[in-house]
Amino acid sequence: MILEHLAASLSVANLLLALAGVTAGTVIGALPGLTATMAIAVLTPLTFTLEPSSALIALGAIYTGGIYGGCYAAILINTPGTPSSIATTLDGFPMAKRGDGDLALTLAVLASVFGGIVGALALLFISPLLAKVALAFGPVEYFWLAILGLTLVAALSEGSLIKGLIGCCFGLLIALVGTAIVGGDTRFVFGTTTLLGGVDVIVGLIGLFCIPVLIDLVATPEAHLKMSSDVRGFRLKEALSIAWKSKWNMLRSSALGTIIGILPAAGGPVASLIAYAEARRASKRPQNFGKGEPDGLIASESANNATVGGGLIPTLTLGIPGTPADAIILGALLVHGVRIGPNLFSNQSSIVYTFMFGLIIATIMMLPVGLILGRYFYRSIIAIPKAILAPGIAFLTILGTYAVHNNIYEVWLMLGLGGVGWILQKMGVPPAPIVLGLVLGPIAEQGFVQAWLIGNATGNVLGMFFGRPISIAIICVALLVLFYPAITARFARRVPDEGA
Amino acid sequence: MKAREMDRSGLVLAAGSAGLAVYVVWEAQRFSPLASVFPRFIAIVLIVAAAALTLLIFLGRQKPPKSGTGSNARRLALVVSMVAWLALVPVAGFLVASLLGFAAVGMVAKYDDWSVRRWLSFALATVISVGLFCFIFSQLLNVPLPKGLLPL
Repeated sequence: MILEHLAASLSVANLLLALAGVTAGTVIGALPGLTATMAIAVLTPLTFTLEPSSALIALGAIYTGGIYGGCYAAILINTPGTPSSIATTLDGFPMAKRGDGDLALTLAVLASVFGGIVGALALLFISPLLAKVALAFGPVEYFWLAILGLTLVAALSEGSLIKGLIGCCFGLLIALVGTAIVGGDTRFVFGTTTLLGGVDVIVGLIGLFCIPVLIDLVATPEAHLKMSSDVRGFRLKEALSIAWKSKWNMLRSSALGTIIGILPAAGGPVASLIAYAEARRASKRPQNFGKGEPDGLIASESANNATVGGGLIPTLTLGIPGTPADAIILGALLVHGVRIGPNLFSNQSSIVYTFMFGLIIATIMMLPVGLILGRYFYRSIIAIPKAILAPGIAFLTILGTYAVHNNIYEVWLMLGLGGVGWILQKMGVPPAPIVLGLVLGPIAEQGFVQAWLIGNATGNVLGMFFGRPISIAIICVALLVLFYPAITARFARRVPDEGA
Repeated sequence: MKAREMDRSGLVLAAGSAGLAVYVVWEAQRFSPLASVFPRFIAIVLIVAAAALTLLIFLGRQKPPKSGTGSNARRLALVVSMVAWLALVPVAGFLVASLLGFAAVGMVAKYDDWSVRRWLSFALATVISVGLFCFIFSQLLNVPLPKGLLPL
């Protein structure tokens, strides 16, 4: 029975759709400002004339390609192409700066394919079981999950923890701008209506990461990236060797990505940040993280692509989309007459299982597509003269930011944030902790306020925050992330620095 | 023995953070209790962090960040070019403003002397890059790019 669905997904038409979808998604995801969600939203109408299973395979391929494509801009120009690749910039760009950009891109595609397959296999085999996990998460669990993510500030602070903490607070304050999630107050809008909707994460990402790079790019005649002169090709053998050594990291990050992907509204950015924090905690070389450590890149990329399958679990089994992209896929499913719910797997199994196999095939196809496109992007960034590269990046930042909400004021905001980000960087505050606060702030605030309200209503605020099993587990992990390096430093001898 | 350099930019950062935190606390007074909990909490953390940073600097335990290299004039020229680019969009439209902005930023990033052929290549690259992406975004992705006031 299952083999029939596998055979159906392997039809020539489906394979071509998966290939085209992955390629289109990767290219769109690579452009700063254009997200996987936008790629799916734009291309969904093209699938309405297709068979339901073929249409879903195309959408799944676009989604997985879009999430992966974000790593190109993250690695090559220090700007996350999509919010899911925030953590990829932390080690990907330093790798590219030292001449290992091609290796970083190959590692990224290997990790993305692995993570994508783990997520898709979870979707295929243990969907109903994992859907229960999503239902067990309440506001307080989301709050602690955000706190767990915020503990990453210690890893992102590049030398001064206090300055990293200040940067994180700036990010949290930026996230407060606009209409309050709970209560509806307007906060820090300075009397304008343009800030009522708040500061979009993508606007913040482009401004804080890309503009400082651009400002420093034009200041010197030196090349943007180094290129290793002695190595040619994809460096696949070297990447496979590193990936094999990092297999547990990849498996752990993929599992984390799948589980966090299941949680509505958490998604790729949270998954990649938490997987990065966990990889750093478990690493024998935590001091190398943020300086071009392949394990950091692998953790981020495997986790964010695992959220694709993870996010589809509550979408298909409960009708609860985990991310905006899942919501669009849910809409497409309904347009094609697929009824979501617990009976989906028995009543319309042929469509669903063909789609799941198609997603796995699309993820596998990402390997050749990613290797070829990655090499092309890398060579282009290296070969393009600075007089074209700098205005090209400037143009894409403006166009990409404008395209988020078709709003020119957001482009001004992006530029302003970029200027402030550059000044803060010169003061020793890196952009990553600011973005960490910006991404996790709304999740933390909403979870905290809702949990506090429920706790008050039930007369047990402390029990609400500290008495639930999942919360206790997350608190323990957060404490472990914070204090594990200090504890192990006391009791164990660290391995000496190894060149990555 | 050389005296350790004081992190003056860190002091500016600490003062700015404390000022921002005071503003947040003051502003939070007009919010409802639910909406003011988080801003107040962040402001308190910011004040504590600013105080800790100041203390570390005066104790000589905070290294100043590495000073950047390169031309500040070019940095400033880039910012001015991008501001002018954006200011031009509502007037000249996205396409024309981007052609001019692209060329201006290209000039800021240009270091070597160019032959006539190189200039022509640059002009061609500008037109193709801007034109192609404007076409993709406006026609294929349905992003309504500002048309400006010019009768184009």
